[in-house]
Amino acid sequence: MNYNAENRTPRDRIGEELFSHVGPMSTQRYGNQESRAASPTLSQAATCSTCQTGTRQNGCGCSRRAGNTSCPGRTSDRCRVHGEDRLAGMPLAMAYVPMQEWRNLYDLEPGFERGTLFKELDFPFYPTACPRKGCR
Amino acid sequence: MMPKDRNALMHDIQVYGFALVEVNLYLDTHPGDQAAIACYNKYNRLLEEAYIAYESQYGPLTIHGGTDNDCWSWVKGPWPWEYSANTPR
Repeated sequence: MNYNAENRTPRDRIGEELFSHVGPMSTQRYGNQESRAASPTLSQAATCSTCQTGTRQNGCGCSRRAGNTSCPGRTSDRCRVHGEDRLAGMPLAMAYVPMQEWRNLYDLEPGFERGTLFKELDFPFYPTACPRKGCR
Repeated sequence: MMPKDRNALMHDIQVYGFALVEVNLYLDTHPGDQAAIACYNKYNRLLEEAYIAYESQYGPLTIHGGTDNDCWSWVKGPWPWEYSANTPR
């Protein structure tokens, strides 16, 4: 395997199949029926597990507003949590890591003191609240 | 120029070594970044110079650092837990 020739990194080689079923990210995905209808394959298969009717693609028809129990002939607005999560099936709690750029470097000595050469990675974490007196 | 004393040289070695690890980690995910490669080469050269300066005056830093012919140099320096090996700059 020749990294340099292809200029690929381990990050580049993350299995594409892992993400292939996830549609393009959109701020619309919790929005109207049109965007739901455009949802990719994952959304098409499952049935709303609360009201047991309709597919995710078609929507179960229940209102997503709290307090509205007008889901036709079915249960309450609880089914609003189903049918629109385009990341359903993905592992939980996966984070994102944007690509770092070569910029905003510390000089050597301050970087050594800070524990990083990159100002953009200098995130000291301090407790912001103390539950009781005396701790520091 | 006055030669640097032992602690100053050790500090340089630690700083350059630290910087190299930082650039190393960056380059792992950015293997084509020319600025980072230039930075790596610069600190690598400075680290090598500091290593040579230290070992020629104060003895080997690692077991690869060579020895005097008449005496096993490795045991002559302060051990890591001795005060003189840990004097702040």
